This record gives sequence, structure tokens and C-alpha cells, in this order.
Amino acid sequence: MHFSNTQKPLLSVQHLTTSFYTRNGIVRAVQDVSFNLKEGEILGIVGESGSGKSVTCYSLLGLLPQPPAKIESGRALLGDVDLLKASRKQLRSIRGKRISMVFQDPMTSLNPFLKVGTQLAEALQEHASIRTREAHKRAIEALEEVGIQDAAKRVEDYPHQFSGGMRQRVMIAMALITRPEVLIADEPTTALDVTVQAQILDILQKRRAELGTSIIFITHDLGVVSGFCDRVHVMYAGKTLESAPTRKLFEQSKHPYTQALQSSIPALHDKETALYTIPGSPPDLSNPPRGCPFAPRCEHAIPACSSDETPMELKPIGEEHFSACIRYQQGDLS
Amino acid sequence: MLKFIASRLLQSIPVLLLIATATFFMVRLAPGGPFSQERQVSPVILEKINEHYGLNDPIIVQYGNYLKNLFKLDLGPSYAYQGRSVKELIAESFPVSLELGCYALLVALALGIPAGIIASLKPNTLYDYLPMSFSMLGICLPTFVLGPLLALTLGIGLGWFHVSGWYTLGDRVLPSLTLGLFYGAYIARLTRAGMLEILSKDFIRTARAKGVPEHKVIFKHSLKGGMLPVVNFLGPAVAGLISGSFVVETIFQIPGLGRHFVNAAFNRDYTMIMGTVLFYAILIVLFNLVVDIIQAAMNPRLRLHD
Repeated sequence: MHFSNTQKPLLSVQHLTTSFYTRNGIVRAVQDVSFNLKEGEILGIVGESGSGKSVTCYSLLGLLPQPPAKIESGRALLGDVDLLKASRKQLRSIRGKRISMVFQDPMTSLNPFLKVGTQLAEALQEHASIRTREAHKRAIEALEEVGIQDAAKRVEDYPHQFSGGMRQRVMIAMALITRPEVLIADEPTTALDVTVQAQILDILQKRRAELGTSIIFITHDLGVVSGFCDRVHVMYAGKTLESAPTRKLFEQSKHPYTQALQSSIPALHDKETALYTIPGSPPDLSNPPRGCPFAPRCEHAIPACSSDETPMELKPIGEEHFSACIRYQQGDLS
Repeated sequence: MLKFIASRLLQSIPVLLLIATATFFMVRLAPGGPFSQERQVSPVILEKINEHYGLNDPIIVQYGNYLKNLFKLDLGPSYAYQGRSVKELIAESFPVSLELGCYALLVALALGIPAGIIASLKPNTLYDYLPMSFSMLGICLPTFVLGPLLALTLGIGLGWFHVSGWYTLGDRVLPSLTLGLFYGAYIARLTRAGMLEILSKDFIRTARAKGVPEHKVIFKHSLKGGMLPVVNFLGPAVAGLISGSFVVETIFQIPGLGRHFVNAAFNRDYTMIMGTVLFYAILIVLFNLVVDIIQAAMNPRLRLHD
């Protein structure tokens, strides 16, 4: 992928391919995924369950158990460091310091056996030689920054004494306490109810504005993406199908899959007619289809879509706009 | 906390009473009596003896008398050991079993926990299979096989230890190993299962994502939770260990409490059976309470908030 933008990206992922070697064969979870994250940008990665969006991010941080997972190829440059080739020690010094993560389920992602304050301060103590008292003070500040009342008392509490939304605030405070350059948020609002979702998004937005952190925001919710992300990267069956600035993606998508997804959003839909659904289901990744993975479900598919002769590749189709659909690339559709 | 302990202790009184009642009637259902095995005793004398111990009274009267004495903490005289009370016999043999049990517990924990942790870190590899096959062996080998085996090899073969008796510190080694290896094998499996469970949790991934080094992921983030099944098992296990093992005490000729359990039953030594059973029940109740307290200390979700 070639970006016309001259600004050097903070994180540049190129041709990442990750597979799982299971008893039932090789599952090609992520295939040839590339994206750049610019400084201060919020990049949304959208896709259904199993589209490889989480695996992409876990690959970057070396959080996948290997085996069964194997990173087959690719580069992920954070500055001069290739995360995919970094030593364990090097990776550990980056995890939680330069790249932090917030996970999907705040109910299970905090250690129930340790005090919230201990868990908050932990990243600081691992990455900076800082005194326990100072770390404790920073933990309290971090809780205050995400809007938790009575923080000085709350750091002494255990996770089960917090509600779901509060725990996700704790997770965010924990991830940002080291002031990382990149925050990877893996569906941080999926497990929460709608009103709490909005609060969490507000906090992320606010903290980003204050700290200038770049965010990779993984979600399956196009609605959340539209209001939150600068750029969107659409994934399907382990591959990138389209990548564009958010507005462009919503207003003039150049991929039938993105268009079909948009038609399936209930809120954007006329109440009188039946809600649009994409026929069929995503392909089995241990036996991926040839060519474009979406072709079997695509209403615009032609034989060339499913052939090996026209390899699927993300190509520029407009300014900052990339699509992997050969029919758009060839100008059949517009 | 004190309220919790007090209420648990009060709750255990009916339990103990129930156990006492059940045991009392069950031992009397068995054929024969305390003195039916005595040789060459004329019926008149036998009658006299039974009379003396109140064994001719209606059973309900005997039961009433027993309970009355029990509340006075009097366990009665032993029928088999003339002139000695059950309390005396327990007080004399329990310290021996307690000492043996403590050594065995140390052996069990020192072997079981590290073996279980190592196995859980690299599941389904040699690091897992090796300790786990030993553990399987330990569980499958009964103490009456392992004991003589150790006595033969370390005792007679290498001549390092005496094979029987309870005099020197060296005499403690073989019985402690026999008993400890068996419990250690169990603890290894429980530790492995507990650690595997915890290591697969989301919060372990969170810790790794924070850049926490692996040894802290294990000892700071996983161990408390992973040890919960072991602690659970240790309650009844410790009660069993310190109240003595009949097999091990018989093999190595140790004057502990374990022998009394079985011998009392053979001799129809009613009061001794009652005494040992109740003593064991009290230990179980006590250690289960201790386990609950330890678990609450380890697992904040179990703590009482009052």
C-alpha cells in the first residue's frame, strides 16, 4: 500500500499474515493486512466476528500463543522497531509502555485477586523506576482522570466492587497511565450497555485530546465508527477489503461489502421495509475461497472475482481511499 | 469475622451430635461385643463385666449416658486397654500422628505445588507429561505398596534408614515420604488444573499486555487463584494426615492414632471407636473452617463485607 501522505506514520503494518495451526488444518486468520497509523489518529478496524481484526492487533503485541498461532510474514514498524521480529524482552518493554491495550470484556479483564490500585500502578512500576508511593499517587490521579469519584478510596477496592462501565474506565486509566503512543482498543464498548458505551467513548475521546494518543479502535459496530474514527479499515475473512477516511467510506464506499454492511444498519434503514441482510455466511478460513473472499455472497460478483488470475489486492481508488474490489478497480462499478 | 467463626463453630455442634449418634448405633449393630473375643471367660464373669460397663442396660439408656458423659467431655474408659481412658489413649498417640502428618504435609506441598506449576506452564509437552506421569503413579500406588517399597530400597537396600520404629529423626523419613508422596501426587494434579484454569483467563492476557514479566504473571497474577483448589483439598487432607494413617503406622510400627481407628473397630471397643471418630470429625470441621478463612483471605470476592 502506498500512501501519498508525506507524514511518517507512527505505526506501519505491512503485509501481516497470521495463521493458526490446528488439528483441523491451517486457519488463515489474517492475510496480507497492511495499514498505517498516523500520530494522533483514530483508526477504526471494522469487521464481523472472525474477520481477523483482533488477531491483527494481538499479533502486533505478541499476545498470541505460539503455537498454535504463527506469524507467517509481514512487518510492523513502530519507529525503527519491527514488532514482529522484536525479542521477547524488547516486546515486553513496548507492551504497556509504548502500546497499551483495552480489552473487550471489563468483567474478566481485570484480575479479581488484586486491588485495582495495584493493577493500575503495575505498568508504571514495570516500565519506569518509580517509587511505590509515587506509583500509588499516579494510580489515584489516573482514576480521577477517567471520572471515577472518590479515587483515593477506590484504589483500595477490588474489581468486583466496580460496575461494568466503571471497570472499563479502570481499564482505560490503566492503559493510559504510562502515556503510551498507541492505544489499541479491542471492542471496548461491546460488552457494555448503550448509555455506558457513550460514556466510555467520551472518555476515550477526551483522553485522546488531552494526551494526543493514537488509537486503533477495533469494533464490529459501524455506528460507533462513524462518530469516532478518522479512518476506517474494513476487514473480512482475514483480508482488508476497503480503507478510507470515515466520511468517504460512508458516503462513497468503493466496495460492495462495505455497502452491504451499511445497508444492514438498522438505524439507517426505512422502518417500513424489511431490514437488509447479507445472504450467506463468512467463509471457512481453514479453506478460504479463491480470489475475493466476499465474492460468493456478493451481488456484483463476476467469474474473475473468484479466480486466481486476478489476485485480490488493495489498490488506491481515490485520494486516501483504497479498495480491493477488482470491479471498482477496473471501473466496472463506480 | 469473629461472628462468622462463632456461627460456624455453633453450626458444627449438631453435625458432631449427628455423627456421634450414628456411630453409636452403628457400632452396636455389628455382631459381638467388646468382650466376646476374650478367652476362657466364664459366662458369669462376662455378665459381671458387661454389668460393670453398663452394657446390659437398654440401648437407649446407654445412649443417654454416653451423651451425658460426652457433654462433660468424658469419652469413657477403653474396653480393650484395661484401666485406660479413651482420652488418655488419644492424648498419647495423637502427637505422634500429628508430627508424622506435618512432615508428610511438608513433603506433599514441597513436591506437589512446584510440580503442578511447572506442568501448567507448558501443557502437553515433556514438562507437563513427566511430572504428571509421576503424579499418576503416586496416586495409583497405594501406601501399602509404596511403604514397603521404600523400606526395601532406602531402608534395607541402601541402609540409610531404619525400616520400623519411631525413635530417631531418621525414623521419620520413610513414613513421611510414603504418606507425603501420595498426597503430593494429588496436590500436583490440583495445582496444575488450578493454574491452567487461571492462566487461560482474560486478566492474564491483560497483565501480559501491560508488559508484566512472565515470572510475575505466574506468581503475582496467577498463583493465588490457581491455589484455590489445592487449599480446598487441604482441609480434609490435613485432617486425614494428622489423624494418622493405619497402613503407614502399621508398616513402620509407629505408635500413632491411626492404628487405634482400626484396632478399636476389630475389638468392638465401643468407646474407643466413638472417641476416634468424634476426634476425626472435630478435626475435619476445624480444618474446613480454617480453609474457609484462608480462602476468604486469598479470594476477595468471598470476603464478607459487614
